[in-house]
Amino acid sequence: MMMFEPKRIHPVGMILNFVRMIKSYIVPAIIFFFVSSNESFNLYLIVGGSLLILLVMVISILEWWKFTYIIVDGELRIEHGVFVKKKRYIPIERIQTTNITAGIIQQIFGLVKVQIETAGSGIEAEGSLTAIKKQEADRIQEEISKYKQLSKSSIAGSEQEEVILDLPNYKMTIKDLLVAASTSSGIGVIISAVAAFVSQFDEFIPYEKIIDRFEFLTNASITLYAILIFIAFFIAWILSIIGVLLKYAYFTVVKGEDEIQISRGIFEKRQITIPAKRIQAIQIVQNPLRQLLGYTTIYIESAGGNSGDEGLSTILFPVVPKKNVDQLLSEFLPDFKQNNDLYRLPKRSMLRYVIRKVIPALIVIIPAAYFLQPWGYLSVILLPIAAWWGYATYKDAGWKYDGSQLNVAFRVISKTHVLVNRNRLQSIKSKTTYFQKRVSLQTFECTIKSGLLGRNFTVKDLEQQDVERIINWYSYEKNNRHS
Amino acid sequence: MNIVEGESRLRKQPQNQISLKALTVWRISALIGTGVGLLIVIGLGIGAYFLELSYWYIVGAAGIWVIYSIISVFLVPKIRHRVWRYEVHEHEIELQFGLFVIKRVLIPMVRVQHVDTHQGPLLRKYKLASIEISTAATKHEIPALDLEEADQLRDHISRLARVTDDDV
Repeated sequence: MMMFEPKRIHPVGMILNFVRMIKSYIVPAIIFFFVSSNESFNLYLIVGGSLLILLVMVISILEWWKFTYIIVDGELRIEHGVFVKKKRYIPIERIQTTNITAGIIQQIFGLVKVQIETAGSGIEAEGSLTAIKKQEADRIQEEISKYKQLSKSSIAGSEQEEVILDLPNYKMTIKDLLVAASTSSGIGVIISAVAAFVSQFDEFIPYEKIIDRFEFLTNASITLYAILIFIAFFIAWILSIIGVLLKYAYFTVVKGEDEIQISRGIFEKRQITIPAKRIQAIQIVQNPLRQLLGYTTIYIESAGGNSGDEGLSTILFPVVPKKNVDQLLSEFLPDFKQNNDLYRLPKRSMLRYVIRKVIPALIVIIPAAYFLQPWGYLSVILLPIAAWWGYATYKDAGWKYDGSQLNVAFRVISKTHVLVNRNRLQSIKSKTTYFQKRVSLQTFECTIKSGLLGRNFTVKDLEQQDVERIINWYSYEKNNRHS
Repeated sequence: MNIVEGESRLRKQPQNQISLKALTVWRISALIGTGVGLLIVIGLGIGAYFLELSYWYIVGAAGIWVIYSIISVFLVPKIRHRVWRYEVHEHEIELQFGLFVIKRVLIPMVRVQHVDTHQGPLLRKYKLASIEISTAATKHEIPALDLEEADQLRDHISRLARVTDDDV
């Protein structure tokens, strides 16, 4: 079963190399093209361009030729480099996660891309096999897990095969997928992306001509504007729905013995494996729309690696009905249990929370009402919205420790409930401003490791005594330790 | 509101203060800052002279500069020094610092990954050093301790951190 010969990846790797290199040249090429397009195309440009492409082709073939990998002596050894020979030996016990993905090119040829990550700090994966057969990928994974099992001095080594059948697994239903898509907060992102895009092309697109053509609009009624804006929003919404559908289609979660496997996607298939012991915290998040419909999203915060494109937290369940959360957590993450019976903040914090949102609103409203006379007054509606938002942030903040687990709840826009175990808290902090001191309130902040960095969770204006309680709970300086 | 269980006894302030010489160091670095500020004010003055603007602008800028200098050179280092406290227990490190916002930090020994001391030119001149305590996710600094004390404390923390071992 061992691989004794260094192997090359599938020849499709050449194409991938080529595409990757061309990609990095494309922006300068376009700029060059635009800059020089004033004069007529000359022969040198074409010859030079073709030569460059030929060179890139040759290099991508050589790169593929020089890239070999082998698993031997408990190490994954990768050798590559056209001009400078590079060797990278990754000890298997250091391998944290292996991600299997398949981009469009890989899918055409029925191949996959395997990324191997260690805890090391780096944005790129430590080892990346860009195009290999699916069986080969499975074999590598098998080899890795077999070696790990072996080095763990097989305690209960023999009986894993049967266990796999009744492992809990979760498949996203069509209904949940649709809910996820239609309530995604990606709408905002898309709107701003479109706006940014449009503003970028100010100079290229002859807006004035377009505006001239649509001159009737300037005379048109407010209703027409409203309809146009509505249509724009609707299109953005549809786009974001499509985006989410593509992203989360076939969303599956499988719980292994000590890891969780998440796979998803239509065009870009992604599979992420998170070892259970790397999980630092769980976030249960409800954006306002989903809260209204009774759905939540669950994120995993894990240490090390660079998996997932959601930044540092990985989505475990994109949308699940709120009432299923407890059951899903107990099935997939038995270490975490949401406590809904949180201690809330004292009444005197409420005003502070409301003021915090109202003051920025006033900063917008007062000049708007003063300078933009008739329509500026409309901005006054921001005031109750801000006040309500402030009240919501107050109402949803809370805390509780439960055995060795800390529950922290707060709202920025989305209502967020964080579960973290005491031994995953890197440090905790209390902050007191002068004004807080006068009414004996304190801000509590705890830090966990997420990805390669730290991540803070903050609850403002807790009762000072309560912060003291959390500190005493967390303190290691007592004679007896928790849990 | 007081149905909450758990000990709410107020913890004592951390015991140790940082070196008094820190005051001098902070004042010097604040002076450098105000020096830069002064250059800007002079620049504004020259600009105002050539643009024939009212002298009140310069008076205003100079006034702001004076107030800023007094606060940053005299007041701020004093408050910072008074607030700064630290204490190294067997199982955890406690810090307290801040200016307008008083922060208190608790770092368990098991979470400490490494400790190091470092000094810039100013600190070196006054035989001081800062200690930096790193966990897997955070960095904390105790500024301006006497050099020997800093070295001892660093070794002490590193020894304590090594004793208690736990997974990340």
